[in-house]
Amino acid sequence: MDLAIETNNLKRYFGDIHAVDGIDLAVPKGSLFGFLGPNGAGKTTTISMLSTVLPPTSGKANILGYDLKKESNKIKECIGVCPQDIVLYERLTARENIHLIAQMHGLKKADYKERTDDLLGRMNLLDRVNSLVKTYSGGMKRRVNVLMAVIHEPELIFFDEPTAGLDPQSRRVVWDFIKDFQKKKSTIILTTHNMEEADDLSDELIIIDNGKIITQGTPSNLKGRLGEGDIVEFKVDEAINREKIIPRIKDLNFVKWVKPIGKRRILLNGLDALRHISKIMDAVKVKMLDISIRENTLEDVFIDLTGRRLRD
Amino acid sequence: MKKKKRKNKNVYNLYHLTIKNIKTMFRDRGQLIWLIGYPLLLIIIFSLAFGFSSSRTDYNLVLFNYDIEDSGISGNPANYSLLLIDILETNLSNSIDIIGTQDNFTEEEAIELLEYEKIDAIVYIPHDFTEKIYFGMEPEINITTVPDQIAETVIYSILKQIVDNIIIYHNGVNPSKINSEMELETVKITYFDSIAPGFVISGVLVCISQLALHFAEEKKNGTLRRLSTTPVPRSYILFSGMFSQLIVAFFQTIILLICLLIFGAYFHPNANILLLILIPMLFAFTSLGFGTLLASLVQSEETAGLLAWFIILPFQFLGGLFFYFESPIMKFVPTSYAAHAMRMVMVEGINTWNAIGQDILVLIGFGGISTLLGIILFQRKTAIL
Repeated sequence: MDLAIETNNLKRYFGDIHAVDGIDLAVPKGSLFGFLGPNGAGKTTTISMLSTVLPPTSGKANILGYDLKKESNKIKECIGVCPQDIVLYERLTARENIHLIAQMHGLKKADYKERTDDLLGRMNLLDRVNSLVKTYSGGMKRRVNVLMAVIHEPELIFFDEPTAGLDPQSRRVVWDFIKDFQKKKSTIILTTHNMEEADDLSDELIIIDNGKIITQGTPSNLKGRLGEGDIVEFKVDEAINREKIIPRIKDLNFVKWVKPIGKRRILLNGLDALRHISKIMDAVKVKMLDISIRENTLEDVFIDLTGRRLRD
Repeated sequence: MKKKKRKNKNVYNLYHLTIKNIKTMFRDRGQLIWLIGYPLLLIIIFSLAFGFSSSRTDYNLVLFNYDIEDSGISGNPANYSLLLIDILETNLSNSIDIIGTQDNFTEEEAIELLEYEKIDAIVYIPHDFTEKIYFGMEPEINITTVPDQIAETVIYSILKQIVDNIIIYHNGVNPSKINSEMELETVKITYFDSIAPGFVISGVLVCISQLALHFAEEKKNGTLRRLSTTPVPRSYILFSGMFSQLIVAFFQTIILLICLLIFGAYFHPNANILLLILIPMLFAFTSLGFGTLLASLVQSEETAGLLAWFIILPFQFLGGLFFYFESPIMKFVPTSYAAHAMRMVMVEGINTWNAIGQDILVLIGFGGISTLLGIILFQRKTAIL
């Protein structure tokens, strides 16, 4: 299998902080590979290293056949980076911002001029193309931010939280845009803490926490580990009461697993156990404040592995 | 899309980065106002403080004329020292006031007056003044002035031009040269005239803060980091910042020279306009060297703006841009060399390498070393953005 990225025990320390603590990656060429994890998990630091901005403390990485430490200039020729923050020249127009990146990659005007307008059209930005970026809304800026990463059609594109702060409609536009690029055989790295985004877009993903990969697989495989069936989530009146009922719920035959979340919430897989749970709660005089029943998600996988939510 | 890569990619990158910098700079009205407004404000303040044309209406001097005895030259038509005094007393009475001669004061008394700055200068005309002019030799006049560069320059200029005109008249080169005596009255080198070249240097000096602010903004906005993910070398990003500032400094210099003309600053008829542009450009290069050093160190625009003044203010005042003083520390301040060269060309009308060559070499040296250090530091400090 051809690999776009291969890393071996990649680490990045900032003093005592182990931002990335020994990551081993094997990203197949042409795949859309997701990095899912909470804020501060080490996703952006990993991307910064792989995109040559930040030198690793130790470990090895091979990007598109080039050594990260020795051949960073060659890597830069082949990658596109969409940073987590909106990084634009506010006193340039959208077209000028995109052209600048094309020019930095040495493309000729004939090659990037029409393509820029095509990309701007696909992101619904053509009507404001000659306005300075500083007059754009946050969502428009975010879309220009994405386009600057792809104008030179790189072999490998890093999208770091590309839809952060976007409304659902704009988010969908960006998702479709990213999927289109994968069809053109680009390898895409997508970092997100949005489980829906990771689930919907990724061919394969890793879940990172505290600078380490805690699991890896396709979204369906990862969710499948939690078992079939819907997830029941409910909240009890007192934290102390939760401790009383969890052992009793675990004893029920229909329950595959039970996880306490936060101070008063309980997550479990076993819809059939629901009628028994109400009996247990009556018996120990615990009140249920709310309840929801839903399909399992990647967040449930994260909770299963760490005991925390992605946004905790 | 099939990519066609450039052969001279780095030059191509440099060109487009410079264009980008100029576009962003010229679209920032606040920055534009600052670039021209700051030196213009200085011009207005100083012209209001010291007058548009003259801060001193006249200079008091005591004149010792030892050229009063008959030289015994056969056919000598006149005593030129008396002619000189006559011109001073009649044509230049608004500028020069001879308050005494050897008839009123001894040399010791005159020196005492000078020491207490009761007079501005003592002028000694030696006994062979007329004789030297008559025989085509170089006549000498000795002046002792108060420690005031302006007073010295004004009195020296006036005396030199009168004597030169007398020599021309005596040799009969062109009798109509007598008319040029009227010109003498119009050439009044005032305090404002003397410091006017410093305003151009002061305007260009702002390059230091502009470059530091530019890169602080790039760091803060993350655009420097974004550019670092493209193949463009970091040194080219720095060079593009310097080039764009040099282009701005060029226009700034021309605008400020025009402003000085409008405000009535004195431009010597021999002043070389190309040198008047070249010297500020060389100084802009020097300033940008210091700007790169600062740009390497600062992370925020606020810090850049504040720290820049720790360089700009000492450079302005210790470089003698606004007032002249003698101090060994001036040797270490590049502005003093730039201001000296500008004064020589603009006020004195001396455009020779002997007069300004050392200044130019020192400016290039300062600029070269500081730029080199700045590039090294910039590369290191921005390795982790």
